[in-house]
Amino acid sequence: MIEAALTAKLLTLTGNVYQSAAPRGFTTPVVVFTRINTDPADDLDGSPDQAFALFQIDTYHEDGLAAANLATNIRHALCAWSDGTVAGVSFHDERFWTDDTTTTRLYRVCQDFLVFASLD
Amino acid sequence: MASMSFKLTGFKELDARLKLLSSDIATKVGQQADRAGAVVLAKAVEAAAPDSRLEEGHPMRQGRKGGGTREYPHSKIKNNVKVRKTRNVSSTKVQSTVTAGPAFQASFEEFGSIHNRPTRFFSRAVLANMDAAVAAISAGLNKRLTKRGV
Repeated sequence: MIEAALTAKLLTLTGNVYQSAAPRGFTTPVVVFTRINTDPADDLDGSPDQAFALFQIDTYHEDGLAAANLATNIRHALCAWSDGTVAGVSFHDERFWTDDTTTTRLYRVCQDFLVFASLD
Repeated sequence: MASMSFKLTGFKELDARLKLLSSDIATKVGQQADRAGAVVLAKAVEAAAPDSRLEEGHPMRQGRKGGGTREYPHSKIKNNVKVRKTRNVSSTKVQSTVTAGPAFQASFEEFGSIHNRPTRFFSRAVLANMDAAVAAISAGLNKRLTKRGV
């Protein structure tokens, strides 16, 4: 499962990793990832077991520089990632925003990665 | 929102036809055709936009960080997807922008926040309709150039 592998990979970089949204009472830094799109690889043998999955990974921190540094570490770790589950990762985009939906302003780095990996 | 670019061919032929017009008319033809392509994308975005139960103009209240609240009328994304002519940094390009206007929640739907997941309804709709937009630009250019006899 790509999500389980991605969670494990991100947990090597920071402690607060969540899927889709952060829970109430979170502590920063926070990393939230969401699978945006799945493009199955053609497989003439039957059901495809590999796919290109587009992930949005958001890094939040009260300190903009800390958010940027963690996002850079994530980019380096993911782009070098290749193992039994994940065949390869390409970096697509990166945007720097603020998130004002919380009591304290959070700096946000929003990254897109295309992951070619096993669906199982 | 995210920006998209398209690959077009036949520029030599197009350039030759545009050069038969004055600069002002050629620019206008380009702007109108570009807008036609953007309208295709705007309609696709409008169709894909999430639709809440709240009616247009429903009174909304937003808490301020420093205390107090701000009241504002709700703007539905579907009702506010518009095409705007925008200025390009290059003086030789025309540009149109598809915007959700006052429906600021569109960015939260598109890219999410720390509280909600992104849906990417906007970029999905644009990507799925890029060919149709290019076809609309092409047809628009041809129609307007033919109308002007070039």
